Amino acid sequence: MNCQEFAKFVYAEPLRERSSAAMQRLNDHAARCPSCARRLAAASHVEQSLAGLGHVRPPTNMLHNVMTQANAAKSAAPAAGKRFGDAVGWAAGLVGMMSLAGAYLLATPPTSWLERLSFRWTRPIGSVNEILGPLASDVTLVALLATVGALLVIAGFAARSRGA
Amino acid sequence: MTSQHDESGRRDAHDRAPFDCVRDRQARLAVTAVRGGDTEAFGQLVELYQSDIMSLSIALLRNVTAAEELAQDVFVRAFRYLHTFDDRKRFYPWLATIAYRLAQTRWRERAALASRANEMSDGMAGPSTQDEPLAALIRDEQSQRLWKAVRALPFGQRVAAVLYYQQGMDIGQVAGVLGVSVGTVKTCLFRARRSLHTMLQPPENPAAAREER
Repeated sequence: MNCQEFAKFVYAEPLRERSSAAMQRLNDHAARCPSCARRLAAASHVEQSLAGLGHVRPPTNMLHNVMTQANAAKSAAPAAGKRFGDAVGWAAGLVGMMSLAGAYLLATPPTSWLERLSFRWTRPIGSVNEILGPLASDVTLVALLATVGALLVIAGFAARSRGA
Repeated sequence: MTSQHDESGRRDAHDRAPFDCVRDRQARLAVTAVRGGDTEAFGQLVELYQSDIMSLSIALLRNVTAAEELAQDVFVRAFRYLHTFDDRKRFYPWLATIAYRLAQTRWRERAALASRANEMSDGMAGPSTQDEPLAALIRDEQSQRLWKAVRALPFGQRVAAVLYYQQGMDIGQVAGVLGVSVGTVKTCLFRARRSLHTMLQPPENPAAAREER
C-alpha cells in the first residue's frame, strides 16, 4: 500500500465496518510512514468523536406534554368509535325498516297495492306487476324479509345504545 | 435516562450494544403493556428514547425549538400508531422513521411558509437556524463543539452520522430509516467523516487539515 492508496482507503469505510485484515494493512503502512500515521490518527479521532457525540437534553416538560397528548388521544378514540357505532346503528335501522316495509307490502294481497299503484302509473307498473306479482305469494320470502328487517332494527338500536 | 449516560451525556460505541439490548427488552415490555391498555407505560418509552429522539430531531431540523416540537410529535404519533409496530423488530428504528417522515412534512410546510413570506417581504431572508444556541441542551463544551460541526454538515450526512455513530445503528438500519440504499448511506458517512476531519482540526492549524485531506 502506498500513501495515495492509504489516503483513499483511510476514509473509505467506517472503522466499525473495516475488516481486521484491512486494518492491519493500514496499520502496517502507518508504522512506516509518519505522515500517514497522522492521517490515521486524525481519521480515528473523527470517528471516536462522533461515537462520543453528547446527547441533547430533552426539554424537562417533554414527558408530561407527551403523556397529556397521549391521554387526550386515548379519550378521543372512544368518541370516534361512538360516532362510528351511531352511523352503523342508523344504517342498520334504516335497512331493517325498509325490509319490514317490503315484507308488509309483499304480504298484503297483490291486488290491493300493485293495482293501486297501477292505477296511478299504468305503463311502468305493468312490468312491475309481472316481476313482483309472483313474489308476493312467496311466504318464505316474506318471512325472511320480515325476520331480517326485525333483526337489523334490533341490531341498529343495540349499536347505538352501546356507543352511548 | 440521565443515569444511563455519563456526566457529559456521552456514550462510547463499545458500551452501546449491551445498553441497547437492555433498552430493547424494556421497550418491548412497555409496548406490550400499552397495547394491553396501560397508557402510563408509554411514559417508560418516552423516558427511554427522548434523548435519542431529541438528538435526531436536532440533526433533522437544526432549529432547537422546532426540534423540541418534532420530538414531542414523534412520541404522540408513535402512541397513536403503536398497533402498527411489529414487535419482532427493534423499537428505536421504527421511532426514528416516524421522526424522519414527520420532519419531511415540516420541511414542506416550512418551505411553503418561507416562499409565502419571501413573496410578502420582497425576498428578505430570515434569521439563520444555524446560529441558535445549543448550549442550554448540551452539557460539555467538547460536545457543543462537535454538535456545531455536525449541524454544519449537509442534511444527509449529518442525519446518517448521528444515526450511525451516536445512536449505534448499523448501515442497513440507517438506510431503512432514510429510505435510501446502503451505498448512499456509505457515501454520506464517507463525506461526513472527510468534512468533519477538516472542521475538527485545532483552529491554529487549518492548513494541516487541508493537507491531510
